[in-house]
Amino acid sequence: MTFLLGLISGHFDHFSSARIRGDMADSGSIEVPINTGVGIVTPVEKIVDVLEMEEFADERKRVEGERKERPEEGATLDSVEPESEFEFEVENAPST
Amino acid sequence: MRRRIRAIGEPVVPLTDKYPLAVTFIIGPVRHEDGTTSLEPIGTGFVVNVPTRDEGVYFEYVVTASHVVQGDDERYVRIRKRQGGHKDVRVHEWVHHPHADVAAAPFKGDGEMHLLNVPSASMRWPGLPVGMEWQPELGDRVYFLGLLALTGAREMAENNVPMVRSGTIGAMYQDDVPVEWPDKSIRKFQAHLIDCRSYGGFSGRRVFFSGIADSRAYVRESGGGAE
Repeated sequence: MTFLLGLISGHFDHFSSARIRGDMADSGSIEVPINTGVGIVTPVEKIVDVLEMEEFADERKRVEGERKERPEEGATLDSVEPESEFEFEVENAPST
Repeated sequence: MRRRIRAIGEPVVPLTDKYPLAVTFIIGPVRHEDGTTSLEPIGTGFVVNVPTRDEGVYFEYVVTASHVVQGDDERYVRIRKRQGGHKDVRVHEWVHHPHADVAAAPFKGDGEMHLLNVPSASMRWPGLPVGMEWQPELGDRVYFLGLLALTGAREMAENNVPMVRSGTIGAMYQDDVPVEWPDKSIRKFQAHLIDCRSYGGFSGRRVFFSGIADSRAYVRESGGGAE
């Protein structure tokens, strides 16, 4: 099993002077970044923070609420329905 | 006091060939010195699975470092396809953490994508009591998968080929760690420090450590999220 520690944000550089050779040797020195090998990791709690922000949490609550309000669906029972003693019209009634 | 029993020597790498399938690359415009612009990999991300109370219904979010998706430029997430190749899915609505270098956006996988996601269960360890076996400690080995954006490896990045690297935890929960933002300003965040090699383009990689014995899968199929 592995767990998430966080995500990489970057690393620290150490700037070191470099010698210039050849035709530009008299131009002085330059500084170049050297990776120190120290990486920066944003903690996993910060990821959880973002996922819990209202921009996302509200949408999850909305979908959960909608699903909760849906009527439960079940199979149609194969039984003979008794004839109604009333006659009435139903608009847009589905054909059977 | 450490109660964990440790093996002597190199630890067994707790990865399988499924892990690279949970890596996505963030694609964005890169401006070149000649004035042209092209869409190229600029960072790494991953897809997190957040379940709802309804079994089998969940939400997916793509997560990356906030500095990777700063600004109004268009961003895409590069996903492998089951049939081979990849496709770039445009992602809008990035939400940024106000005090940390992390951002997320809604994402919905589909059957065409060959993508695994990270269950939110793998992020719950900070809520467990200190001293339990799956609390990370200084010196623990950590692993990360990310974009290999090195000169000479451009084709690998374009084909969504991730690379596994490793390091050890050097310091945890350090406050005010300075980070140079894309606009060159310095921002300070709380962060862990790890002893590793990290290069440009690796931002947004998830870093994980190995807990002890649990049957939960770390990655699972993406797609089929909330309706």
